[in-house]
Amino acid sequence: MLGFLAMRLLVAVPTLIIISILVFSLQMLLPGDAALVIAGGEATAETIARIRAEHGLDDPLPVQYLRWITNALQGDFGISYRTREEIGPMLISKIPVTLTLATAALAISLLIGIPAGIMAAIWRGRGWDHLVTIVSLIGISVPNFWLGIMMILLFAVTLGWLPAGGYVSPFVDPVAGLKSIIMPATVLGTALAAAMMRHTRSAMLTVLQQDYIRTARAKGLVERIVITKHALRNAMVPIITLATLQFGTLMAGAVLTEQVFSIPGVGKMVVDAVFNREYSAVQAVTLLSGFVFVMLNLLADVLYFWANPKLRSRSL
Amino acid sequence: MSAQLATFAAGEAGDRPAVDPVLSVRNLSTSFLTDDGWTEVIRNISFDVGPRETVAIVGESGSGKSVTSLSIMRLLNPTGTRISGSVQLAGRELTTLSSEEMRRVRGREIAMIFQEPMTSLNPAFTIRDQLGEALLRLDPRMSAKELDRRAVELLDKVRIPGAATRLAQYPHEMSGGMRQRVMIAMALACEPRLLIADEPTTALDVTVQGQVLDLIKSLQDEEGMSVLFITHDMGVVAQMADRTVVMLRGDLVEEGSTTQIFAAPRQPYTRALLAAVPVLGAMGAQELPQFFPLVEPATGIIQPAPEMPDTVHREAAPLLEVKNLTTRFTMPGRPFRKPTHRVHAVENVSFSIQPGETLSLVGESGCGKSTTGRSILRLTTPSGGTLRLDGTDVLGAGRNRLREMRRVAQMIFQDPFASLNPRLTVGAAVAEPLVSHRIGTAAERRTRVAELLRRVGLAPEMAARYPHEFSGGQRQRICIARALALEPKLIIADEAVSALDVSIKAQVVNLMLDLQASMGLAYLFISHDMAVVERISHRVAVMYLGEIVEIGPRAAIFDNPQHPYTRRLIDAVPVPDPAQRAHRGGVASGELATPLRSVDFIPPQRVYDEVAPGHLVMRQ
Repeated sequence: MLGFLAMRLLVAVPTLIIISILVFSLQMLLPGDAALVIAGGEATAETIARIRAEHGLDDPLPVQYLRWITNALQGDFGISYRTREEIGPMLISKIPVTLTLATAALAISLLIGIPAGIMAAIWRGRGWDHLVTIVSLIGISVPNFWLGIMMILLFAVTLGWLPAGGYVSPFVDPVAGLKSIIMPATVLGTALAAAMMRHTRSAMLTVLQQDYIRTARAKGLVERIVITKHALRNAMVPIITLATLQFGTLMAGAVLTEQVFSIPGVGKMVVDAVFNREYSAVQAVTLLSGFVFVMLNLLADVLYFWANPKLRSRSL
Repeated sequence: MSAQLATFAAGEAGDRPAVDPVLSVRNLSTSFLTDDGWTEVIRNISFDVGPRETVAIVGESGSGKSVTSLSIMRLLNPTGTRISGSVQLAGRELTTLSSEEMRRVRGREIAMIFQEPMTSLNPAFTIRDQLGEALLRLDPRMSAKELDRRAVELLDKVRIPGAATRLAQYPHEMSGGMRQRVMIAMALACEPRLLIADEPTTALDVTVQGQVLDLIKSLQDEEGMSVLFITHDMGVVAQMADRTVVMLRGDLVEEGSTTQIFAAPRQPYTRALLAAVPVLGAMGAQELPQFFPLVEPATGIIQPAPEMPDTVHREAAPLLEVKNLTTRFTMPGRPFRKPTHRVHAVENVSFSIQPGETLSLVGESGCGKSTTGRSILRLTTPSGGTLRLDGTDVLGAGRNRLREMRRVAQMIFQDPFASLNPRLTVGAAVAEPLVSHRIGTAAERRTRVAELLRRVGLAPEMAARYPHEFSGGQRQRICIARALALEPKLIIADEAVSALDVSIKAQVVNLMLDLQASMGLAYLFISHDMAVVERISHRVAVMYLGEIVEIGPRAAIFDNPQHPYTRRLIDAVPVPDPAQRAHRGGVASGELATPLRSVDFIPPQRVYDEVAPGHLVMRQ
């Protein structure tokens, strides 16, 4: 297994290099260049040329790329043209916020989606199955921002139980932190739970048809053990796949939800950066999410090993 | 008091009153909820299983034999099933138990093993885990150490070599035979009174089947269990059962002692079933292949089979010439290392087939017989050797030549369910080879399809239907019609009748013989079923670990087998005659060896001795 993982890690390296090249070339696709932005609208051609030379924008692209990636690897993504803040530390300060939100949302997705999916599979075609299907359809169809606004209206404006927005770290102040995260996490989590439930249901339906489930019942095991041990473990592979994908999407920034609840996370940073034409910040976030996805895929591989012992002996 | 007891005991021994049965089934009927309402799938089934007795339920697919066993265990989906009648286990009624009480009976008092050892064990848990679960039902407080000790004891009991090292293994690390032994060990864990074995050896190779049957028999004696044995194989019935219950389409047709059922079957269906069973050695001195005698199931009247003409063109140039065919697969090794092992699937195999001749390739799973067939059509790329098909060099052929060549040789496969596209009508499936070779107009193709369907015994109108509307036997006929579309000279039939019921199998074999007689087809008949091979072949080649160990005329192979493996293969076939029960001493537990070799392995030079004209045996 260690050999397999080492190989996957090595495969991840070229993947990350390709991602970084793509991210770097994003700025080439945009009209104008950074020098225009820095110089402002009324600069003369000479000023622009001077800024270009100063920032090395005249160098050949490979040289520019190498410089950029060398800096990026040291956490240096340049300086925000607007706020004069360093982008690297800014991004790093947003990560814990988004990570907390993503973890909470994924937990809600798993806690609702898996049990609901299992029950829908067990009572297939009956009342509970239909109910869960309808609810999950609603969960998928309702737009996040709308649900967010409705929750703010109810819990913050009308009832006054929760803050309407902002973020407090739960590690600093657990109560206030939980209060600030509960609504955005629910909004994100319920939408994901719907997909999680559908996947769990179909995986469980397949597994429950298998011969070894009949064997487990013929052994006289209690139905609870048959479902939670024998069936669920084998249904885990698609669930793991979906969960890591969901987590990756969340880490790339829950753009709308962070905007609605004005949470200072990665998603909000992306939106701000795009509106202000801060290319370097957009690149930094894109590179980060690429990295997160690659790492999550690696994590998924490790989890597959746990769920499916056959993989462990595949390499002879 | 004690005197009274003594008299009573003596009286009992003298009169031998009927012993109370372990399992008593009375008027058992089961219905499934379908789109048309409740449909009865088994009707009024009644039988007993006495202490230490083995009762076999025998029948073809759809006879309801598995439903009977699942109804006894109450393992059918409770919402879509209705069970009536009575099932008593040692006098205790099971049908009225609460589901929790019934759960306690399962595994503890009645244990069950199933047909598919490959899928019946949970792939995600170790053998230790799965055996432990069963053992914990005996005593939930058993310590981990005690559990391990008992688990090893059980594995020893089912004669699994190296029991202690097996506990940490996962099912996929074991062969089918070993997995079925683990299933049996699991079933024995709680020392049940009754073991229900649902087709336990059907998916196993014949020599492994022999071992597992022997094992069940000896364990039954050791443990004093009763066994309810469900099977479609009359050979297995004859070998295992004290009494036999014959089922047909949900009804119990006949019940009696196994000796009586085989010697003097009362019901026409039983007679038909027995007549359709291929019996090894039934051919005697007969040189040519022989049709199966067909029996009218309603009347039990045996229709005499026509004589098979001699179809072999002995003087003609061989239709297929295979010389030193070798196919190896390299196993993916550890990351960053060179591959260390190769599967020598086919190693230095040579044979030829004359026009109109049937050569059978026999052997057990993994012996390379299917790879040989696939290599001939280049569905798998051989690593070496020469292949000449109808005068064309197959291995040197380019794309176009290969296409042409595939008109000469066609293939039919084992699973008629999987080898037809469910979304194509039967007509479209049969016409497909014509379309892809651009033969004829649409109208001509339709005529040709109708003619082909008629040829394989189906109605031309069936062309508009979809595969799911057909039975297994009919689908195999469709596959044969499709293979015939390009008028091939050779058909490679890879286990083509193995998945079919006995009576259907006999019909399809007869169809193949009929086509050989009328069209002069040659067959490469790949099969593990020795009795069918004996019927259909002119010549037989026995394969073991990728090599041919013996090849020769059919009569020579069956009457005078020279290689020890050929003898083992023939001996392992269950004889459908209770009077000839094999008396084997001890239970062998040999594993089939694998043709997996290290990359630097140099295959030994083989020498073949010609013991009789055309009869070659590998020298050991």
